[in-house]
Amino acid sequence: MPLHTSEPSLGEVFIANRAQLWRVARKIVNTADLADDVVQDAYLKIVDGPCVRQADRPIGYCCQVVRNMALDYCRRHRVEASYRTFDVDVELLDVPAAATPDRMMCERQVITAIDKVLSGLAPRTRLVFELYRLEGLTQREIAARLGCALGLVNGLIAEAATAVKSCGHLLFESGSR
Amino acid sequence: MTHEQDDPIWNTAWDWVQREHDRESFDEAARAEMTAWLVAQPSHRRAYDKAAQLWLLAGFVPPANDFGDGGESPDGGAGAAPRAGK
Repeated sequence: MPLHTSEPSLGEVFIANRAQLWRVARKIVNTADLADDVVQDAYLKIVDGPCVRQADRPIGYCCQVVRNMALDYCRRHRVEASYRTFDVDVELLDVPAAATPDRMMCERQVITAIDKVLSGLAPRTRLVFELYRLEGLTQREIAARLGCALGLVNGLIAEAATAVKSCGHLLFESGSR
Repeated sequence: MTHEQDDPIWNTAWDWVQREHDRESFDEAARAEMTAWLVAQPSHRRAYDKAAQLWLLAGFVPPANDFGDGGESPDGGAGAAPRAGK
């Protein structure tokens, strides 16, 4: 590989830390096979360049993508499991759409749009949102960490979530099946 | 502003995704209630999938704050080589 002085790409950072990232996934999903799937999906997301704005801490960002993807796997699994208790045919379940170039482009646009609306929030609101959504802290943990009232944390998260929700039309326009 | 914000199905789907994320309060009763809503109409499930996707994409936004090793290292940071944030 040629030597170059520029910083490693996000994909290179991901590969270099693959074992650590796999452990992040494995702590969340039930099986090693699922952890493999999560890491592979996260890698594809990472090399695609998920957001126009670069992450300041590449390894931290790789962990974030892996963790959130693993949590989403679990979320989907729980929804499916819950369907079974309702005796609903699993055939009816939506299969996640394949990662087509169009879809990737759409997702990058949406992520960038979300980044933009979050930038319009007060710094404290964005901090609370990031602790909640990106770092996975509970509202109670955030209140304790910042030394503020739970009700305030609750309100700030609701404000940020409403900002995210306002980007929904981008998915509706470009991502409808 | 945009039409889907007046759409009660979209609003309900979004609220479910928010409640589901709040793991402290989302118990089995809440999940059963959500599933009953999801299976009631195909449009409910479609709106839920969109809302969940939007919430997932929000999880891929690079942070504006530097959390250091605030929890993302699985084993105390061994093997990680974080650069200085700024």
